[in-house]
Amino acid sequence: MGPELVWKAVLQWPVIVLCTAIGVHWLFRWKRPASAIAGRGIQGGDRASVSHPPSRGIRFVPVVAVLIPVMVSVAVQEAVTLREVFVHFPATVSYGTLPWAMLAAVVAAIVMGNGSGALSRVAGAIAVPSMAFVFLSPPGLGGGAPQLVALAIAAAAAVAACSVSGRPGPAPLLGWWLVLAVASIMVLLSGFAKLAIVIGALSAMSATLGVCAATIGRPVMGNGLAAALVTAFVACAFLGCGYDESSFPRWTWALLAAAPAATAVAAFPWVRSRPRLHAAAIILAPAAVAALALAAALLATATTAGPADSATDPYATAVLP
Amino acid sequence: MINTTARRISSIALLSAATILAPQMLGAAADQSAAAPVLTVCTVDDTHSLALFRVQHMGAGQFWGRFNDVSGNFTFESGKAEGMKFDITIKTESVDTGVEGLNKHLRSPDFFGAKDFPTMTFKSTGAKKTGEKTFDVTGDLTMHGVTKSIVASVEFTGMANMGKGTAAGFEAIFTVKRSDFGMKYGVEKGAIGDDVKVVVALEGGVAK
Repeated sequence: MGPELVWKAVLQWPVIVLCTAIGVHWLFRWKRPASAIAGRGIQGGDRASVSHPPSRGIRFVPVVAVLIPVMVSVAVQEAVTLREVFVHFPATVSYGTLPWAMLAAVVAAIVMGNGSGALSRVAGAIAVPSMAFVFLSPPGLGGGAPQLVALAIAAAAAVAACSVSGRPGPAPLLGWWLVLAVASIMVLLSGFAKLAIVIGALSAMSATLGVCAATIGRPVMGNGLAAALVTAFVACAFLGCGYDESSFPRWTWALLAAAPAATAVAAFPWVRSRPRLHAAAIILAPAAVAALALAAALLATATTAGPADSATDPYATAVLP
Repeated sequence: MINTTARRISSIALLSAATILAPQMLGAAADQSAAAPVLTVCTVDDTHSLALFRVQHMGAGQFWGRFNDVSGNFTFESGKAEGMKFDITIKTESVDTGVEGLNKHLRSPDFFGAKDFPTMTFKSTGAKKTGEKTFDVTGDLTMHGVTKSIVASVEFTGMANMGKGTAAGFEAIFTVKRSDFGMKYGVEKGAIGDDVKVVVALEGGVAK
């Protein structure tokens, strides 16, 4: 699959949303256009979060950020109404249970709330994915062990993601935009376009919220949304692994799922004390790990592929939906 | 001398018995054939059988693909619809377009979902003769986890002695709406057609 398809299916909406939002951001800060372009708005948010705990301000609700993109993208692709998405239960395929898994995760995330205490953060990081993974059993990954591994990855990633979720400004959400975009590409290359579009929708929503965070005050992400996004991310990677038609090594899927845990880099005191580096770590560290997983997956399949796989694939250059 | 004479007598006796009994036995066989049809049961030879499908791509060309793994059995009586039965299984994993990237996509849950639905099946429920060698065969097609009744136009293509045994062939043509089976990827925007023409070519060895 070529870059044109990746652009059409995954990246175009997030990029359009981001460019529009940068334009809006520039208009709001028309007196300082240079700072808007250079991202000083992000830096302002970062400085504030270092000196002031994010105890005030609006927080994004997981229902809006996670459940709606998943439901809408599933409904649009399956040509059904949103109500019908939930009618057929239990679904005949594991992929069909994704909206249910996300509903469970979002309910748990709302119950979990946005408590900033370490205990509530850890409890939420375990409870939210646990609720979702009850519903998921991808082909070839049924039974307890793979689900426990996925749950452990999700819990660790959620703890790390929650550690920066209280930071005002767009940095955490922009990080999610990138890491979800990379995940979407990997799922697309594995052959499962419908799931790639769901992840692309989550990526677009993260970009939109990130831009909102940069333009309308300084809302914070909140632990609830962070845990819900991690759950959605790991659930999609889990499904992607189960339905993989490209035979990517399973460890590359695990590495992809664990990418949000790379946010933990931002917790080092040396990084935290440097606002610019801190923001860069939050935005780029998870995306870098996800990109590493993608590169490793492609490299692994390229070295094991036969002549038909390694040769120029006409499907990559064809006009595709 | 005595032994030779005895052998001749016994041979004549056997020949006489056979001459007397043969018409009666043949009569009995004829009576049996009148009561129950002589059905030929064939096991599908996967080397010489395949399923082709055709679907429109982006409102432009008609795109063809095939399934290489076709198995099952069929039963028929020459020239008759009565007793005709097809029980065919196709492995979705065997989808083959000649392009590996497209094969992967067709095996994914976007289309056949080979991991969730490893097989497609057709089990006939009735047949009607429409011509000298043609029939309308009704049956249940199960694809993508959904079962629908369809009618296939089936042609008897021949029967021959292959040396090691006898083989018979049929060719079936039918059209399905893939959205009826929950396979909706690309239908909504007209990227990939909803109507899929299917041609199934079967050759089966007559069971001994």
